[in-house]
Amino acid sequence: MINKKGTDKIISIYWFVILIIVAGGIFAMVSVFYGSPYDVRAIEAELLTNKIADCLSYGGGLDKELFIDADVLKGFKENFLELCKINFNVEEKFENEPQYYLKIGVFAIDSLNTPAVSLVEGNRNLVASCNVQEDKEFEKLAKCNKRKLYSTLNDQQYLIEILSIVKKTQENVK
Amino acid sequence: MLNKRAQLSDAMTWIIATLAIIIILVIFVFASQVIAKAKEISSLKSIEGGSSNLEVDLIEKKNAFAFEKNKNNELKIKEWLNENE
Repeated sequence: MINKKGTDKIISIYWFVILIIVAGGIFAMVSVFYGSPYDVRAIEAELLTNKIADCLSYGGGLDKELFIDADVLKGFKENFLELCKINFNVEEKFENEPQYYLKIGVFAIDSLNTPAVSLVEGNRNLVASCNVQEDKEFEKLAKCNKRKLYSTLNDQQYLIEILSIVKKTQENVK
Repeated sequence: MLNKRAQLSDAMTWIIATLAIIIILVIFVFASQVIAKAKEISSLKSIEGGSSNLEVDLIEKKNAFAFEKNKNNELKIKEWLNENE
């Protein structure tokens, strides 16, 4: 009788230990799954491109507000980012290394090799990441999004090339 | 002697059961790590449009508007737009 009591005690302690192990396992599973960040850099770059496209061209025509002379395509205004309501501000830890890059080239239809107007903003060092971004080995590099757009200004036809790059690796890749 | 053997086999059952639980847990933790690495949002359309076919790419829409305004050099422009570098 005494021996049976002892066995029961050991078994109940055993069950507690198993319970703790299982609970620990479930905790580990949940923390591993939710602790791993979603990689949204490609989408962020796509969003940035869309935002710029939306700012540059509306209803099939170039936004006259963005260019110095309303009738002739002269260039982007100095406060382009402000006008397009874009800011490259990031968390303090990234202050020394900008996490975004933006390149816009506006080509006239008769001169597709040299841009009539171009704009470059952000960290130029990120451009090198674009060629290897599909490679899994280099997933910690920045993500690029390059799109081409057609727009008009009065009777003139313009082709726009937008390249957006987002780094922010620390927050997107573990 | 017989009693001792029975006790040993009883203990073995518990040990194997415990090991099985631990191994299954480890497999599950490992699997969740693999699934966690694979989780991603592939494109903007999957957020904005879901499974809807009505969602059209914003840039495509803008190009279509521009072509409505001016269709000159359409072929040349389309070629340039589809050109990959």
